[in-house]
Amino acid sequence: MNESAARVAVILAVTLTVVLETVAVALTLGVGALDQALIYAVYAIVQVLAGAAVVWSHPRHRVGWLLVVSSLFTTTFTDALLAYGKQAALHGWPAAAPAQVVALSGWMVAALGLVLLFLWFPDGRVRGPGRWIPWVGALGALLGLPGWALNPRLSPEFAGHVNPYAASATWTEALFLCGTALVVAALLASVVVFVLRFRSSEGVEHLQLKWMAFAAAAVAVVLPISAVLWTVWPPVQLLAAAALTLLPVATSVAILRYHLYDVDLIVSRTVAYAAITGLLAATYAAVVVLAGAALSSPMAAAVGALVVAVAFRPVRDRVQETVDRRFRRARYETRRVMADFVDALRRGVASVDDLEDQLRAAVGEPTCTVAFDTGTEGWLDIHGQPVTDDVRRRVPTTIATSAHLAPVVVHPPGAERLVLEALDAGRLAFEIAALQAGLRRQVDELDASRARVVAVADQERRRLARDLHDGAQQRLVTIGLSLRHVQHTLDGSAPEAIHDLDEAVTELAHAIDDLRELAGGLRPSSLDHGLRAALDDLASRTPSPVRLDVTTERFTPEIETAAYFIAAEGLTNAVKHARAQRIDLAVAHDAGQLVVAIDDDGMGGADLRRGTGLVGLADRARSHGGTLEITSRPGAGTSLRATLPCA
Amino acid sequence: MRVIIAEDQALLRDGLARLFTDKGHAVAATLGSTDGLMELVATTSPDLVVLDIRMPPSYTDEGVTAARLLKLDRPDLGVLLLSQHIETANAADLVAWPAFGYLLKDRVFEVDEFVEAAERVAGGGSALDPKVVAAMVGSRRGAGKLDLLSDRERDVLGLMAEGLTNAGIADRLSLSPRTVEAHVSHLLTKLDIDDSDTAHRRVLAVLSYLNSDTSP
Repeated sequence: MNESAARVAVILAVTLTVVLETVAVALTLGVGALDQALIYAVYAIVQVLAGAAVVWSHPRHRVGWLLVVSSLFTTTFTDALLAYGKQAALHGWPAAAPAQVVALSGWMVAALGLVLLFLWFPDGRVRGPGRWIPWVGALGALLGLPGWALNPRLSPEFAGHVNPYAASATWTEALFLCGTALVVAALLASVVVFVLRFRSSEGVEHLQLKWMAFAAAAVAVVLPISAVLWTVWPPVQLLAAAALTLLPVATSVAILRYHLYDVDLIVSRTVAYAAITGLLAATYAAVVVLAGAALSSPMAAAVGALVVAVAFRPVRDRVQETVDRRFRRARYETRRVMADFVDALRRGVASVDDLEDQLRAAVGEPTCTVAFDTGTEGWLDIHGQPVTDDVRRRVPTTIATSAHLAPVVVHPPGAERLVLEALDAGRLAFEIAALQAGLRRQVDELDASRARVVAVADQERRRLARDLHDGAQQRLVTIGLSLRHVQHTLDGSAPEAIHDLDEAVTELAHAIDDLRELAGGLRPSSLDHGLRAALDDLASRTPSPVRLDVTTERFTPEIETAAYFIAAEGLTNAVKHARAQRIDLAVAHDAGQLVVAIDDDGMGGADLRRGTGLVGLADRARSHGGTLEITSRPGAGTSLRATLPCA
Repeated sequence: MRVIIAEDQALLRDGLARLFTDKGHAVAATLGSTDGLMELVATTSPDLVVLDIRMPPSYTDEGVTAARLLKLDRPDLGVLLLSQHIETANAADLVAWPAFGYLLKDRVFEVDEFVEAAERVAGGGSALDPKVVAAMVGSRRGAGKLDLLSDRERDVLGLMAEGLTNAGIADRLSLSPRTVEAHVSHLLTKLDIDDSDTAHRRVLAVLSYLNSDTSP
């Protein structure tokens, strides 16, 4: 059947059900129990609507049609026909007796609907040994139907209290019992199939079956209670009707997956409130009875109310926790995992870096991602790194806070509730992680800014060195030449002036030497020819013998400068502080890293924490994303190793 | 002696030219870069070309490149490189040439020594800046035989490397020529260098010894 035909059909079915039930209620006036008629009407209409909702979006769904058809059946052959039959008997309308006998025995067929519902739910297919169950039920109905319809026991239900079709009590009773036994057996078997299916199911199907199980359990609990209290306390009839309507409603909700994931919450709330209500009612009754012995009755009632009021909050918490442990395993586990983690953090035996793993374990979703919202600069991950946009586009859940670095959890759909539980139970862990992520972000920014400062400084040094060489020094040489020329032109005529010019030129030579040294300290011009040339030059000026093993490869000016100054400071240290006799200086390109290694045979004992020279080297290495390690035991020489990324 | 000067700074260029003319040499031409240098050398046939190392367009090693080209073309032409600072990387493969000099610019202050060195280069000899020599000797230290030399012998070796003759060394160190000869003979023996007949070949042997990467 196509979609539009199915929709027309269910609209007709719903309309027919509503009209027939209205007629049934109207016809019941004066001949039967109006309240029961109303309850049946509501149940039938709810059921047909639930079925219609399923068929509307799944036109071929058997369970949807089952609900619609069985609702229509009950409405027509039980409710409407019974009301008509009774009115007909009263007013002498035709077919009063057949209408009544059909209506009164129709429940046996209706019970088959329940069998099919348990077998077919949730996808309309029967699995395993369930296939024969409907046939058993049908056989039972086939036997039981005449057994009940022709049974003299049915007489009191008729208007006039006589079953006009009554036959032999013996064989009708036998047929009835036989048929009923088969129908009940089929019903029980279908429930067993349902339970087996529930226990072996997982994922979405498990949740769907859980909805159904919840409704069935509610019916199983409420119906016996209301049967006992039916006449004692009439409002319980409403409760029974409500419980019955739960079945079709739960069926529809489960199939349409509407609020599918809330089943645990609903189960736990229902059980908890039922338990609390029972406990508090019992407490109230006990207090009133006990206090009534000593106090006046209004006083006893007041004391009872007071006790109940005081006990409410703690009782609710305890009951909720107990219920959660049993019925909302997921929520309980989630909160427990997060609470344990926070506790481990407090005791210092866990690292907040594990937060994401813990959250994934707690929620049971291995794809959960934790991030922190900076507000203006996007999200940071737990390590303080910016989060990519494709993660941000997934469905998020946030802690309800506008604070800086508010935790954000990215998770698959359907996990919202558990994630919120985890966020709540692990609030402290999330706050620490947020602070840490923010701090790491700042450290990264500081590193980057330090690298920029060093790079700018190196560039500036290079410019200054060049300016000194090509500007000031050249000018001084020119001036010296001019002075020598003046001296030459004087040609011995003014000995004093010639002497003064000599001194001036000597001073100029010193000035040039000073400038040369200054410029060399800023940035050795030998670096223009690469590290090898510059370090050759440097080693030649080092008083202790230096064994060189330097790559001839070229690198970026920044890296070469950094490596040069690290080597220079290392050599100076080796000579000055360690009084080394022999120094090995090696510079090699190794897997994207430029490694500068300086080993000496000096007195050792160098410490990164003491002496600004070594700290400066470490800073320089770090500013290029590198590292500096020093091994220096007293008397065992010093080994300095700087690693600079140069890929 | 006919000299061509290539130096990009005009005042310094003029100063150098004046220095040579003051000492009675002829300045055949002056240039601000190495452009047209080869043609000028061909037309004016100078005895010496004085080259600044850093010149336009890149201000890195234009002078070195020009010196190589000149030497390929005219091995006997004297070439004197001037530099603001010493870079051994530049000097490495040049110092072993005959008629070649490499000096710091401020050596011009000692006018007589400077012109002497220039004349030596023009005459086919060497003139290496003491700083170049020191760098070469320094980088060889700890590598073997140089450690065998006495301090005095090392001084003598340095002056030999600068291109000085025995007489020049005696003069510079205020020693008698015989003493210098003794030092020279000793240090050459220690370094396993033949005591060649000409001063120039001896210098080359010393330089190539200092400059070689493979000798112990």
